[in-house]
Amino acid sequence: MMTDPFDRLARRIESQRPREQFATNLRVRLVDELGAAGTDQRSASTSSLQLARRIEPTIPPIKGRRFMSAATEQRSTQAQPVTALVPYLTVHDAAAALDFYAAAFGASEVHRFVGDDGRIGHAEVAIGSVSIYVSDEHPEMGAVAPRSLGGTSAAMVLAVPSVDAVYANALAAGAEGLRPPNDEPHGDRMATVLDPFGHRWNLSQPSVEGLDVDSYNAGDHGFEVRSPTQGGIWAGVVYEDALDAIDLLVEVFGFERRLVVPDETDSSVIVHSQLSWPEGGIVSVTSVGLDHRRYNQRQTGNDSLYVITADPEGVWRRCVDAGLEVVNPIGTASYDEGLVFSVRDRAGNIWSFGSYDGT
Amino acid sequence: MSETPDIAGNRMRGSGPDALVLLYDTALPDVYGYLVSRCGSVSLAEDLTSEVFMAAVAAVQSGRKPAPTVAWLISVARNKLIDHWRHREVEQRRLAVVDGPTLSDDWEVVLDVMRSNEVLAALGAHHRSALTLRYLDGLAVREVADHLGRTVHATEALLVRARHAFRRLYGEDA
Repeated sequence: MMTDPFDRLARRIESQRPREQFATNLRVRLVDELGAAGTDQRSASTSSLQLARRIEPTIPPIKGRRFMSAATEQRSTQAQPVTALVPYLTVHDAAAALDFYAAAFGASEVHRFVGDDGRIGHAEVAIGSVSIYVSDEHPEMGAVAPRSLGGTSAAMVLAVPSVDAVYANALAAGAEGLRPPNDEPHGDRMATVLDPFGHRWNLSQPSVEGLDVDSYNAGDHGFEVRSPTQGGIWAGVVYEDALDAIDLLVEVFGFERRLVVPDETDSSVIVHSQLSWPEGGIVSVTSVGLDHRRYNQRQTGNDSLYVITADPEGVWRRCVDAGLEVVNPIGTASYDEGLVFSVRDRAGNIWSFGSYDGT
Repeated sequence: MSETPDIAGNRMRGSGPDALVLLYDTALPDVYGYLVSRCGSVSLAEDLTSEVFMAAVAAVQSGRKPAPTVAWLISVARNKLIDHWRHREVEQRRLAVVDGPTLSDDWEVVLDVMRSNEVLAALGAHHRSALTLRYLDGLAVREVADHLGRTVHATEALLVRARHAFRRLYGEDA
Protein backbone atom coordinates (compact mmCIF):
# COMPACT_ATOMS: atom_id res chain seq x y z
CA MET A 1 0.00 0.00 0.00
CA MET A 2 1.36 3.35 -0.94
CA THR A 3 1.88 6.09 1.56
CA ASP A 4 -0.80 8.72 1.87
CA PRO A 5 0.49 11.99 0.35
CA PHE A 6 -1.49 13.89 2.96
CA ASP A 7 0.74 12.46 5.68
CA ARG A 8 3.33 14.92 4.53
CA LEU A 9 1.19 17.77 5.88
CA ALA A 10 1.58 16.60 9.46
CA ARG A 11 2.73 19.48 11.56
CA ARG A 12 3.93 19.25 15.08
CA ILE A 13 2.75 21.96 17.40
CA GLU A 14 5.68 24.27 17.27
CA SER A 15 5.88 26.74 20.08
CA GLN A 16 5.99 30.29 18.89
CA ARG A 17 6.14 33.33 21.09
CA PRO A 18 3.54 35.97 20.13
CA ARG A 19 4.28 39.68 20.09
CA GLU A 20 5.45 40.89 23.49
CA GLN A 21 2.75 43.54 23.69
CA PHE A 22 0.05 41.00 22.99
CA ALA A 23 1.46 38.51 25.50
CA THR A 24 1.64 41.19 28.18
CA ASN A 25 -1.84 42.54 27.54
CA LEU A 26 -3.46 39.15 27.51
CA ARG A 27 -1.70 38.24 30.74
CA VAL A 28 -2.92 41.39 32.42
CA ARG A 29 -6.43 40.63 31.25
CA LEU A 30 -6.18 37.05 32.43
CA VAL A 31 -4.92 38.03 35.85
CA ASP A 32 -7.61 40.62 36.21
CA GLU A 33 -10.38 38.27 35.12
CA LEU A 34 -9.19 35.77 37.66
CA GLY A 35 -8.91 38.34 40.39
CA ALA A 36 -5.41 37.09 41.03
CA ALA A 37 -2.26 39.16 41.13
CA GLY A 38 0.27 38.43 38.48
CA THR A 39 3.94 38.96 38.61
CA ASP A 40 5.91 41.31 36.50
CA GLN A 41 8.16 38.56 35.25
CA ARG A 42 6.26 36.60 32.72
CA SER A 43 8.83 33.88 33.10
CA ALA A 44 7.02 33.48 36.39
CA SER A 45 9.08 31.89 39.02
CA THR A 46 6.60 30.25 41.30
CA SER A 47 7.93 31.91 44.40
CA SER A 48 7.16 35.38 43.07
CA LEU A 49 3.47 34.66 42.71
CA GLN A 50 1.25 36.28 45.23
CA LEU A 51 -2.42 36.82 45.49
CA ALA A 52 -3.37 40.43 45.91
CA ARG A 53 -6.57 41.56 47.49
CA ARG A 54 -8.91 42.31 44.68
CA ILE A 55 -10.01 45.89 44.51
CA GLU A 56 -13.72 45.78 45.16
CA PRO A 57 -15.99 47.74 42.86
CA THR A 58 -17.55 50.81 44.38
CA ILE A 59 -20.97 49.86 43.14
CA PRO A 60 -22.51 46.59 44.18
CA PRO A 61 -22.06 44.02 41.45
CA ILE A 62 -25.02 42.32 39.94
CA LYS A 63 -25.21 38.72 40.97
CA GLY A 64 -22.75 36.67 39.02
CA ARG A 65 -21.43 39.62 37.06
CA ARG A 66 -18.21 41.43 37.56
CA PHE A 67 -17.69 45.13 37.09
CA MET A 68 -14.40 46.11 35.55
CA SER A 69 -12.33 48.54 37.53
CA ALA A 70 -11.23 51.76 35.90
CA ALA A 71 -7.65 50.58 36.13
CA THR A 72 -8.49 47.47 34.16
CA GLU A 73 -10.18 49.53 31.54
CA GLN A 74 -7.03 51.49 30.94
CA ARG A 75 -4.75 48.52 30.78
CA SER A 76 -6.88 46.45 28.48
CA THR A 77 -6.34 46.77 24.77
CA GLN A 78 -9.90 45.84 23.92
CA ALA A 79 -13.03 47.64 25.03
CA GLN A 80 -14.75 45.69 27.73
CA PRO A 81 -18.32 44.75 26.95
CA VAL A 82 -20.85 46.45 29.19
CA THR A 83 -23.14 43.83 30.64
CA ALA A 84 -25.72 45.86 32.50
CA LEU A 85 -27.03 49.38 33.06
CA VAL A 86 -28.88 49.87 36.32
CA PRO A 87 -30.84 52.99 37.16
CA TYR A 88 -30.02 54.23 40.66
CA LEU A 89 -32.97 56.27 41.91
CA THR A 90 -32.50 58.72 44.73
CA VAL A 91 -35.76 59.53 46.47
CA HIS A 92 -36.84 61.61 49.45
CA ASP A 93 -38.40 58.60 51.19
CA ALA A 94 -36.86 55.36 50.06
CA ALA A 95 -38.96 53.11 52.28
CA ALA A 96 -42.17 54.57 50.88
CA ALA A 97 -40.76 54.42 47.36
CA LEU A 98 -40.02 50.71 47.72
CA ASP A 99 -43.66 50.19 48.69
CA PHE A 100 -44.81 52.26 45.75
CA TYR A 101 -42.65 50.44 43.20
CA ALA A 102 -43.98 47.14 44.52
CA ALA A 103 -47.60 48.28 44.19
CA ALA A 104 -47.24 50.11 40.89
CA PHE A 105 -44.81 47.94 38.93
CA GLY A 106 -44.80 44.67 40.86
CA ALA A 107 -41.23 45.22 42.04
CA SER A 108 -39.89 42.63 44.45
CA GLU A 109 -37.31 43.69 46.98
CA VAL A 110 -33.98 41.89 46.91
CA HIS A 111 -32.48 43.61 49.93
CA ARG A 112 -32.04 46.97 51.62
CA PHE A 113 -29.09 48.44 53.50
CA VAL A 114 -30.42 50.49 56.40
CA GLY A 115 -27.96 52.94 57.91
CA ASP A 116 -27.44 53.73 61.58
CA ASP A 117 -29.21 57.02 60.96
CA GLY A 118 -32.25 55.21 59.59
CA ARG A 119 -31.68 56.22 56.00
CA ILE A 120 -31.70 53.52 53.35
CA GLY A 121 -28.22 53.66 51.89
CA HIS A 122 -28.95 51.16 49.17
CA ALA A 123 -31.78 48.93 48.14
CA GLU A 124 -32.24 46.65 45.18
CA VAL A 125 -35.52 45.65 43.64
CA ALA A 126 -36.27 43.44 40.68
CA ILE A 127 -38.98 44.33 38.21
CA GLY A 128 -39.44 41.38 35.93
CA SER A 129 -35.97 40.63 34.64
CA VAL A 130 -34.39 44.00 35.37
CA SER A 131 -32.83 45.47 38.50
CA ILE A 132 -33.30 48.93 39.96
CA TYR A 133 -31.41 50.46 42.86
CA VAL A 134 -33.02 52.90 45.27
CA SER A 135 -31.63 55.02 48.07
CA ASP A 136 -32.53 57.87 50.34
CA GLU A 137 -30.95 61.24 49.71
CA HIS A 138 -27.27 61.49 50.60
CA PRO A 139 -26.46 65.03 49.53
CA GLU A 140 -22.99 64.70 51.06
CA MET A 141 -22.33 62.12 48.34
CA GLY A 142 -24.14 63.95 45.58
CA ALA A 143 -27.25 61.82 45.79
CA VAL A 144 -30.22 64.17 45.74
CA ALA A 145 -33.83 63.47 44.88
CA PRO A 146 -36.09 65.12 42.29
CA ARG A 147 -37.97 66.99 45.05
CA SER A 148 -34.73 68.74 46.05
CA LEU A 149 -33.78 69.35 42.45
CA GLY A 150 -37.21 70.55 41.43
CA GLY A 151 -37.49 68.02 38.64
CA THR A 152 -35.64 65.24 36.92
CA SER A 153 -33.80 65.06 33.65
CA ALA A 154 -33.87 61.31 33.15
CA ALA A 155 -36.77 58.96 32.70
CA MET A 156 -37.02 55.22 33.15
CA VAL A 157 -38.45 53.36 30.19
CA LEU A 158 -40.13 50.14 31.20
CA ALA A 159 -40.86 47.70 28.43
CA VAL A 160 -44.05 45.95 29.49
CA PRO A 161 -46.44 43.52 27.84
CA SER A 162 -49.46 45.75 28.52
CA VAL A 163 -49.06 49.51 28.83
CA ASP A 164 -52.71 49.95 29.76
CA ALA A 165 -52.60 47.53 32.68
CA VAL A 166 -49.39 48.92 34.17
CA TYR A 167 -50.60 52.49 33.66
CA ALA A 168 -53.82 51.76 35.58
CA ASN A 169 -51.82 50.03 38.30
CA ALA A 170 -49.41 52.92 38.69
CA LEU A 171 -52.19 55.47 38.94
CA ALA A 172 -54.02 53.35 41.51
CA ALA A 173 -50.78 53.20 43.54
CA GLY A 174 -50.52 56.99 43.57
CA ALA A 175 -48.67 57.99 40.41
CA GLU A 176 -49.67 61.01 38.38
CA GLY A 177 -50.60 60.32 34.78
CA LEU A 178 -48.65 62.57 32.40
CA ARG A 179 -49.67 60.91 29.16
CA PRO A 180 -52.34 58.20 28.87
CA PRO A 181 -51.65 55.11 26.76
CA ASN A 182 -51.45 55.93 23.08
CA ASP A 183 -50.29 54.24 19.88
CA GLU A 184 -47.35 56.36 18.79
CA PRO A 185 -46.43 56.93 15.14
CA HIS A 186 -43.12 55.13 15.66
CA GLY A 187 -45.10 51.98 16.29
CA ASP A 188 -44.97 51.51 20.06
CA ARG A 189 -47.84 51.95 22.48
CA MET A 190 -46.67 54.27 25.22
CA ALA A 191 -47.75 56.07 28.38
CA THR A 192 -45.98 58.26 30.93
CA VAL A 193 -46.46 58.55 34.67
CA LEU A 194 -44.77 60.63 37.34
CA ASP A 195 -44.23 58.68 40.52
CA PRO A 196 -44.87 60.32 43.95
CA PHE A 197 -41.11 60.81 44.34
CA GLY A 198 -40.65 62.83 41.18
CA HIS A 199 -39.28 60.16 38.83
CA ARG A 200 -40.73 59.86 35.37
CA TRP A 201 -41.58 56.44 33.96
CA ASN A 202 -42.32 55.78 30.31
CA LEU A 203 -44.26 52.59 29.80
CA SER A 204 -43.56 51.05 26.45
CA GLN A 205 -45.21 48.20 24.64
CA PRO A 206 -43.07 47.55 21.57
CA SER A 207 -44.89 46.83 18.35
CA VAL A 208 -44.26 43.54 16.68
CA GLU A 209 -43.17 45.18 13.46
CA GLY A 210 -40.65 47.55 15.04
CA LEU A 211 -39.88 50.99 13.70
CA ASP A 212 -40.52 51.40 9.98
CA VAL A 213 -38.23 54.31 9.15
CA ASP A 214 -39.54 54.88 5.65
CA SER A 215 -43.20 55.05 6.55
CA TYR A 216 -42.43 57.15 9.62
CA ASN A 217 -40.45 59.65 7.58
CA ALA A 218 -43.20 59.69 4.96
CA GLY A 219 -45.66 60.89 7.60
CA ASP A 220 -45.83 64.41 9.00
CA HIS A 221 -44.78 63.88 12.60
CA GLY A 222 -42.47 66.83 13.03
CA PHE A 223 -39.43 64.55 13.29
CA GLU A 224 -37.17 62.77 10.87
CA VAL A 225 -35.51 59.49 11.77
CA ARG A 226 -31.83 59.59 10.90
CA SER A 227 -29.17 56.95 10.96
CA PRO A 228 -26.13 57.61 13.17
CA THR A 229 -23.75 55.95 10.74
CA GLN A 230 -22.76 58.98 8.69
CA GLY A 231 -19.48 60.83 8.91
CA GLY A 232 -18.82 63.38 11.57
CA ILE A 233 -18.08 66.39 9.36
CA TRP A 234 -20.48 67.72 6.79
CA ALA A 235 -18.99 69.68 3.96
CA GLY A 236 -21.01 72.59 2.60
CA VAL A 237 -20.44 73.56 -1.03
CA VAL A 238 -22.25 76.35 -2.84
CA TYR A 239 -23.04 76.43 -6.58
CA GLU A 240 -24.62 78.80 -9.06
CA ASP A 241 -26.48 75.81 -10.43
CA ALA A 242 -27.00 73.60 -7.41
CA LEU A 243 -29.33 71.19 -9.20
CA ASP A 244 -26.70 70.52 -11.86
CA ALA A 245 -24.08 69.97 -9.15
CA ILE A 246 -26.33 67.54 -7.30
CA ASP A 247 -26.81 65.60 -10.53
CA LEU A 248 -23.05 65.39 -10.96
CA LEU A 249 -22.45 64.25 -7.40
CA VAL A 250 -25.15 61.62 -7.58
CA GLU A 251 -24.89 60.38 -11.16
CA VAL A 252 -21.13 60.56 -11.69
CA PHE A 253 -19.45 60.52 -8.29
CA GLY A 254 -21.91 58.13 -6.69
CA PHE A 255 -23.34 60.12 -3.80
CA GLU A 256 -26.79 59.16 -2.56
CA ARG A 257 -29.54 61.74 -2.59
CA ARG A 258 -30.90 61.73 0.96
CA LEU A 259 -32.62 65.09 1.08
CA VAL A 260 -32.95 67.99 -1.35
CA VAL A 261 -34.94 71.03 -0.25
CA PRO A 262 -35.76 73.55 -3.00
CA ASP A 263 -36.88 77.08 -2.28
CA GLU A 264 -40.63 77.44 -1.89
CA THR A 265 -40.99 79.98 -4.66
CA ASP A 266 -38.14 79.00 -7.00
CA SER A 267 -37.53 75.31 -7.30
CA SER A 268 -34.18 75.82 -9.04
CA VAL A 269 -32.82 77.34 -5.82
CA ILE A 270 -31.65 74.73 -3.33
CA VAL A 271 -31.76 75.91 0.27
CA HIS A 272 -30.60 72.63 1.75
CA SER A 273 -29.47 69.18 0.71
CA GLN A 274 -27.86 66.12 2.18
CA LEU A 275 -25.91 63.91 -0.18
CA SER A 276 -24.37 60.96 1.57
CA TRP A 277 -21.31 59.08 0.46
CA PRO A 278 -22.06 55.37 0.74
CA GLU A 279 -18.83 54.76 2.62
CA GLY A 280 -19.46 57.58 5.08
CA GLY A 281 -19.71 61.35 5.06
CA ILE A 282 -22.18 63.94 3.92
CA VAL A 283 -21.96 66.85 1.50
CA SER A 284 -24.55 69.60 1.54
CA VAL A 285 -24.91 71.32 -1.82
CA THR A 286 -26.83 74.61 -1.79
CA SER A 287 -27.36 77.58 -4.06
CA VAL A 288 -24.96 80.46 -3.70
CA GLY A 289 -26.03 83.82 -2.31
CA LEU A 290 -29.16 82.89 -0.37
CA ASP A 291 -30.22 86.07 1.39
CA HIS A 292 -30.70 84.54 4.80
CA ARG A 293 -27.58 82.41 4.78
CA ARG A 294 -24.37 84.24 5.44
CA TYR A 295 -22.30 81.15 4.75
CA ASN A 296 -23.82 80.90 1.28
CA GLN A 297 -22.50 84.32 0.41
CA ARG A 298 -19.09 83.44 -0.94
CA GLN A 299 -17.33 82.68 -4.16
CA THR A 300 -18.13 79.47 -5.96
CA GLY A 301 -15.63 77.09 -7.51
CA ASN A 302 -12.93 77.46 -4.87
CA ASP A 303 -13.46 74.36 -2.76
CA SER A 304 -11.41 71.20 -2.60
CA LEU A 305 -12.78 68.03 -1.06
CA TYR A 306 -11.28 64.61 -0.51
CA VAL A 307 -13.57 61.58 -0.46
CA ILE A 308 -12.44 58.24 0.93
CA THR A 309 -13.44 55.23 -1.12
CA ALA A 310 -12.29 51.64 -1.40
CA ASP A 311 -12.83 51.84 -5.15
CA PRO A 312 -11.17 54.94 -6.61
CA GLU A 313 -10.93 53.26 -10.00
CA GLY A 314 -14.69 52.89 -10.30
CA VAL A 315 -15.26 56.56 -9.57
CA TRP A 316 -12.40 57.47 -11.90
CA ARG A 317 -13.96 55.65 -14.84
CA ARG A 318 -17.27 57.42 -14.32
CA CYS A 319 -15.51 60.79 -14.12
CA VAL A 320 -13.61 60.12 -17.36
CA ASP A 321 -16.77 58.97 -19.09
CA ALA A 322 -18.49 62.17 -17.98
CA GLY A 323 -15.67 64.21 -19.50
CA LEU A 324 -14.67 66.01 -16.32
CA GLU A 325 -11.49 68.04 -16.31
CA VAL A 326 -8.66 66.02 -14.83
CA VAL A 327 -6.50 67.76 -12.25
CA ASN A 328 -4.43 64.69 -11.32
CA PRO A 329 -4.89 61.41 -13.17
CA ILE A 330 -5.34 58.26 -11.16
CA GLY A 331 -2.16 56.90 -9.67
CA THR A 332 -0.43 55.85 -6.52
CA ALA A 333 0.01 58.57 -3.97
CA SER A 334 3.43 59.32 -2.56
CA TYR A 335 2.12 58.82 0.98
CA ASP A 336 0.21 55.61 0.49
CA GLU A 337 0.02 52.51 -1.64
CA GLY A 338 -3.56 53.16 -2.63
CA LEU A 339 -4.90 54.95 -5.67
CA VAL A 340 -6.02 58.56 -5.76
CA PHE A 341 -7.12 61.06 -8.40
CA SER A 342 -8.51 64.57 -8.65
CA VAL A 343 -11.01 66.12 -11.03
CA ARG A 344 -12.66 69.50 -11.31
CA ASP A 345 -16.41 69.84 -11.33
CA ARG A 346 -18.04 72.20 -13.83
CA ALA A 347 -17.98 75.05 -11.33
CA GLY A 348 -14.25 74.65 -10.67
CA ASN A 349 -14.20 72.85 -7.32
CA ILE A 350 -11.64 70.09 -7.00
CA TRP A 351 -12.85 66.67 -5.94
CA SER A 352 -10.29 64.04 -4.98
CA PHE A 353 -11.11 60.38 -4.45
CA GLY A 354 -8.70 57.95 -2.87
CA SER A 355 -8.43 54.86 -0.74
CA TYR A 356 -6.09 56.43 1.82
CA ASP A 357 -8.09 56.94 5.01
CA GLY A 358 -5.47 58.41 7.26
CA THR A 359 -4.49 55.17 8.95
CA MET B 1 5.60 37.36 51.87
CA SER B 2 3.82 34.33 53.22
CA GLU B 3 1.16 32.58 51.25
CA THR B 4 -2.27 31.85 52.54
CA PRO B 5 -3.03 28.16 53.01
CA ASP B 6 -5.70 28.46 50.34
CA ILE B 7 -3.21 29.46 47.69
CA ALA B 8 -0.74 26.83 48.70
CA GLY B 9 -3.50 24.28 48.46
CA ASN B 10 -4.58 25.49 45.09
CA ARG B 11 -1.10 25.24 43.77
CA MET B 12 -0.68 21.75 45.07
CA ARG B 13 -3.87 20.71 43.40
CA GLY B 14 -2.77 22.53 40.26
CA SER B 15 -6.01 24.41 39.95
CA GLY B 16 -7.33 27.82 40.83
CA PRO B 17 -6.49 31.26 39.58
CA ASP B 18 -2.74 31.37 40.06
CA ALA B 19 -2.31 27.91 38.57
CA LEU B 20 -3.92 29.19 35.41
CA VAL B 21 -1.58 32.18 35.31
CA LEU B 22 1.33 29.76 35.61
CA LEU B 23 -0.17 27.67 32.84
CA TYR B 24 -0.49 30.79 30.71
CA ASP B 25 3.18 31.59 31.17
CA THR B 26 4.26 28.15 30.03
CA ALA B 27 1.58 27.31 27.47
CA LEU B 28 1.12 30.61 25.66
CA PRO B 29 3.72 29.84 22.94
CA ASP B 30 2.15 26.42 22.36
CA VAL B 31 -1.37 27.75 21.98
CA TYR B 32 -0.31 30.70 19.86
CA GLY B 33 2.11 28.54 17.85
CA TYR B 34 -0.63 26.04 17.11
CA LEU B 35 -3.05 28.72 15.97
CA VAL B 36 -0.71 30.93 13.95
CA SER B 37 0.73 27.98 12.02
CA ARG B 38 -2.73 26.85 10.99
CA CYS B 39 -4.62 30.07 10.40
CA GLY B 40 -1.73 32.01 8.85
CA SER B 41 -2.71 35.37 10.33
CA VAL B 42 -1.08 37.01 13.33
CA SER B 43 -4.10 39.10 14.28
CA LEU B 44 -6.50 36.19 13.96
CA ALA B 45 -4.15 33.95 15.95
CA GLU B 46 -4.02 36.61 18.67
CA ASP B 47 -7.79 36.93 18.81
CA LEU B 48 -8.28 33.20 19.02
CA THR B 49 -5.49 32.83 21.59
CA SER B 50 -7.30 35.38 23.77
CA GLU B 51 -10.53 33.45 23.40
CA VAL B 52 -8.85 30.20 24.39
CA PHE B 53 -7.47 31.63 27.61
CA MET B 54 -10.71 33.42 28.45
CA ALA B 55 -12.42 30.04 28.07
CA ALA B 56 -9.89 28.69 30.54
CA VAL B 57 -10.78 31.49 32.95
CA ALA B 58 -14.44 30.58 32.66
CA ALA B 59 -13.60 26.93 33.25
CA VAL B 60 -11.61 27.74 36.38
CA GLN B 61 -14.29 30.06 37.69
CA SER B 62 -17.00 27.50 37.18
CA GLY B 63 -14.95 25.02 39.22
CA ARG B 64 -14.38 22.69 36.31
CA LYS B 65 -12.43 19.55 37.16
CA PRO B 66 -9.84 18.60 36.21
CA ALA B 67 -8.10 21.94 35.81
CA PRO B 68 -7.08 23.09 32.31
CA THR B 69 -3.88 21.64 30.88
CA VAL B 70 -1.90 22.36 27.73
CA ALA B 71 -3.74 19.55 25.97
CA TRP B 72 -7.05 21.04 27.06
CA LEU B 73 -6.02 24.46 25.76
CA ILE B 74 -4.99 23.01 22.38
CA SER B 75 -8.29 21.19 22.14
CA VAL B 76 -10.16 24.44 22.82
CA ALA B 77 -7.94 26.17 20.25
CA ARG B 78 -8.97 23.59 17.65
CA ASN B 79 -12.61 24.24 18.33
CA LYS B 80 -12.14 28.01 18.19
CA LEU B 81 -10.37 27.69 14.85
CA ILE B 82 -13.09 25.49 13.38
CA ASP B 83 -15.78 27.83 14.70
CA HIS B 84 -14.01 30.78 13.16
CA TRP B 85 -13.78 29.16 9.75
CA ARG B 86 -17.40 28.12 9.92
CA HIS B 87 -18.61 31.60 10.87
CA ARG B 88 -16.47 33.29 8.28
CA GLU B 89 -17.84 30.98 5.65
CA VAL B 90 -21.38 31.92 6.59
CA GLU B 91 -20.46 35.59 6.40
CA GLN B 92 -18.74 35.29 3.07
CA ARG B 93 -21.33 32.93 1.67
CA ARG B 94 -18.41 31.15 0.14
CA LEU B 95 -19.45 28.69 -2.48
CA ALA B 96 -18.48 25.14 -1.86
CA VAL B 97 -16.12 23.57 -4.33
CA VAL B 98 -18.26 22.16 -7.05
CA ASP B 99 -18.11 18.42 -7.28
CA GLY B 100 -16.15 17.23 -10.22
CA PRO B 101 -15.61 13.74 -11.56
CA THR B 102 -14.88 11.19 -8.89
CA LEU B 103 -11.19 10.76 -8.38
CA SER B 104 -9.49 7.61 -7.38
CA ASP B 105 -8.06 7.58 -3.89
CA ASP B 106 -4.65 6.79 -5.35
CA TRP B 107 -2.68 9.96 -5.67
CA GLU B 108 1.01 9.81 -6.15
CA VAL B 109 2.40 13.19 -5.41
CA VAL B 110 4.79 14.80 -2.97
CA LEU B 111 2.81 17.65 -1.55
CA ASP B 112 4.48 20.99 -1.36
CA VAL B 113 3.75 22.41 2.08
CA MET B 114 3.51 26.04 1.03
CA ARG B 115 1.22 25.25 -1.85
CA SER B 116 -0.82 23.01 0.41
CA ASN B 117 -1.35 25.87 2.84
CA GLU B 118 -2.74 28.00 0.04
CA VAL B 119 -5.04 25.25 -1.08
CA LEU B 120 -6.27 24.61 2.46
CA ALA B 121 -7.03 28.29 2.89
CA ALA B 122 -9.07 28.25 -0.30
CA LEU B 123 -11.21 25.30 0.77
CA GLY B 124 -14.58 25.62 2.43
CA ALA B 125 -14.72 25.53 6.22
CA HIS B 126 -15.75 21.89 6.58
CA HIS B 127 -13.10 20.58 4.23
CA ARG B 128 -10.40 22.79 5.70
CA SER B 129 -11.34 21.81 9.25
CA ALA B 130 -11.43 18.11 8.49
CA LEU B 131 -8.08 18.06 6.69
CA THR B 132 -6.40 20.26 9.30
CA LEU B 133 -7.50 18.08 12.19
CA ARG B 134 -6.81 14.79 10.42
CA TYR B 135 -3.51 15.53 8.75
CA LEU B 136 -1.88 18.63 10.18
CA ASP B 137 -2.85 17.76 13.73
CA GLY B 138 -2.65 14.01 13.14
CA LEU B 139 -5.87 13.24 15.01
CA ALA B 140 -7.63 9.91 14.60
CA VAL B 141 -10.86 9.93 12.61
CA ARG B 142 -12.75 9.35 15.85
CA GLU B 143 -11.23 12.51 17.38
CA VAL B 144 -11.90 14.53 14.23
CA ALA B 145 -15.50 13.39 14.42
CA ASP B 146 -15.76 14.57 18.03
CA HIS B 147 -14.43 18.03 17.19
CA LEU B 148 -16.73 18.41 14.22
CA GLY B 149 -19.76 17.01 16.02
CA ARG B 150 -20.26 14.30 13.40
CA THR B 151 -20.41 10.55 13.41
CA VAL B 152 -17.30 8.59 12.48
CA HIS B 153 -19.02 7.40 9.34
CA ALA B 154 -19.99 10.91 8.29
CA THR B 155 -16.49 12.14 9.06
CA GLU B 156 -14.91 9.45 6.89
CA ALA B 157 -17.17 10.52 4.04
CA LEU B 158 -16.33 14.16 4.67
CA LEU B 159 -12.62 13.37 4.59
CA VAL B 160 -13.00 11.64 1.23
CA ARG B 161 -14.78 14.70 -0.20
CA ALA B 162 -12.26 17.03 1.42
CA ARG B 163 -9.31 15.14 -0.07
CA HIS B 164 -10.90 15.31 -3.49
CA ALA B 165 -11.63 19.00 -3.18
CA PHE B 166 -8.06 19.57 -2.06
CA ARG B 167 -6.72 17.54 -4.94
CA ARG B 168 -8.77 19.40 -7.53
CA LEU B 169 -7.62 22.75 -6.23
CA TYR B 170 -4.05 21.61 -5.83
CA GLY B 171 -4.07 20.86 -9.52
CA GLU B 172 -2.27 18.33 -11.60
CA ASP B 173 0.43 20.76 -12.59
CA ALA B 174 2.09 20.55 -9.23
